[in-house]
Amino acid sequence: MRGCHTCSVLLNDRHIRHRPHELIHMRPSKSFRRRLRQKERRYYARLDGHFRDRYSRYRNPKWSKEKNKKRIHRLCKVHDSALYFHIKFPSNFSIYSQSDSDDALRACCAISDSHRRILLDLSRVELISAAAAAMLMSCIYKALSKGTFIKCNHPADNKAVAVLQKIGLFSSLGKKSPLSTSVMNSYPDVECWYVYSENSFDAKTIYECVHDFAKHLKNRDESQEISASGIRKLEINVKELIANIVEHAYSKEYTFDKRWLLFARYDHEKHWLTIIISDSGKTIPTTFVQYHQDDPGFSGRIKSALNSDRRLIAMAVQEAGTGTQKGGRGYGLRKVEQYVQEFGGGLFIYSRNGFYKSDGSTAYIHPIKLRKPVEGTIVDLILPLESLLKA
Amino acid sequence: MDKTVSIPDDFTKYTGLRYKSLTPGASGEEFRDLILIPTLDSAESVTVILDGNISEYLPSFLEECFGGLIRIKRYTFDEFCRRVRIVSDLQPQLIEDIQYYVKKETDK
Repeated sequence: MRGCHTCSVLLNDRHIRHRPHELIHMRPSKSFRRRLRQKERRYYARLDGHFRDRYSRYRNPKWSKEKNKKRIHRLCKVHDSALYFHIKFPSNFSIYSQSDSDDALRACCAISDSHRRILLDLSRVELISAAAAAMLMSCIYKALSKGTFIKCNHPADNKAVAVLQKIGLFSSLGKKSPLSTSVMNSYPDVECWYVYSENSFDAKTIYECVHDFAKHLKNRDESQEISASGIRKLEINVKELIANIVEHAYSKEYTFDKRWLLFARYDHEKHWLTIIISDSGKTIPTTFVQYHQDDPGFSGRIKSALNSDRRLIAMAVQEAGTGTQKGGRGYGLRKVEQYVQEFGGGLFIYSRNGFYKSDGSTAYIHPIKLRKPVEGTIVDLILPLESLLKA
Repeated sequence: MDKTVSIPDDFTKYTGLRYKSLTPGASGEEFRDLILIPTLDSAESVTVILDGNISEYLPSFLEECFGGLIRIKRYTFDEFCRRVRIVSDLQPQLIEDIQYYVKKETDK
């Protein structure tokens, strides 16, 4: 509180070079943080305007309009680099290969670690995978709830802009959507992305969400009508994964924004249905150790697996019904894995430094080593659409 | 005397998670404490009907209802089978799941 009060005084006194939140030692209340964020946003918008006005004096009347615009843009970039911490995103923003995942995780970790103003430099981004997008949004939501001020630029590639707009990046940062609906519709593979975000568990909402997505697929193509049993199985998988987030990742002691994200998309080329559920809360290895460290059946094995997050995730998934004092746990993920294997699909879990791949899944995602920790957990379900369609 | 309890009709059509704190009004804990145990206390046996739900049952909901019942009442497996009858014509695998949760608890 002390630091934030100092901040607000500095803001009123128009100190341009102050660094908000550097003095924060105590966590302020939610409403205070919201008011402070609004205040900061107004302040930096004013500051940006101030710099743009100042640089407009450097306009050379002899130069063309375009050249002047470029010059002012360059000067504003200099101002941005002084005020904001730049995070550069790679051209292929994905976590499906080793080199891509290294770059993507480096960028996302920088967002999570930073406590100052951030500029997301997305100008080079050309390709964005759904799992990486989920990871990015989790990091952004957590950073925003910590009070970090985030600004971003647009990728040069319009399709990448469309993807970022679809996943709600610009709206979450309070920016106007850069592309109109008609331009968005010109990318059919982006248009079929289904994004949903919530911060609580409501069985009715999840039910409607899964039915919406099935309807969305059917509206696009009559032949893609998912059967009633397919919808039920999809629903139980999605519900189970969200239940895990609400029950374990966002337990009572977790004080940041308890938001989970659901991405669903249909891959026209491979005829895969991809469902990604992500959170920014406690990871699976953390909660598994927390629940089972005193369990005599597990303590020995946990000790030997403490250095391997992959093994801890595998234990959490495969050891169904791991009894604790509070009752049987661990049935859910096992059930999800069984369903996925029944469909002939894949289950991929990224949590902390561990990457778990279901044994029965088709090997189209190569096992990777996560060199930096993932913010929270990302669960990637890949299901072949044929197995869900109406016979 | 046998009593019948239907989860969709007497509790909710959209079942939630394990604890009341996570999904108030739709949790396994509430169904067990407010409906199942009082009914068992007033009757010799209870028939629990699962069919008719709109939203799917989660393992955590069912485990807390029936596994939790064993943790509280300390029934043996045979006693549970004698006093609680589960009916689900549409999803018979749920009955097997419940029996598995109960067996796990009674074997402890």
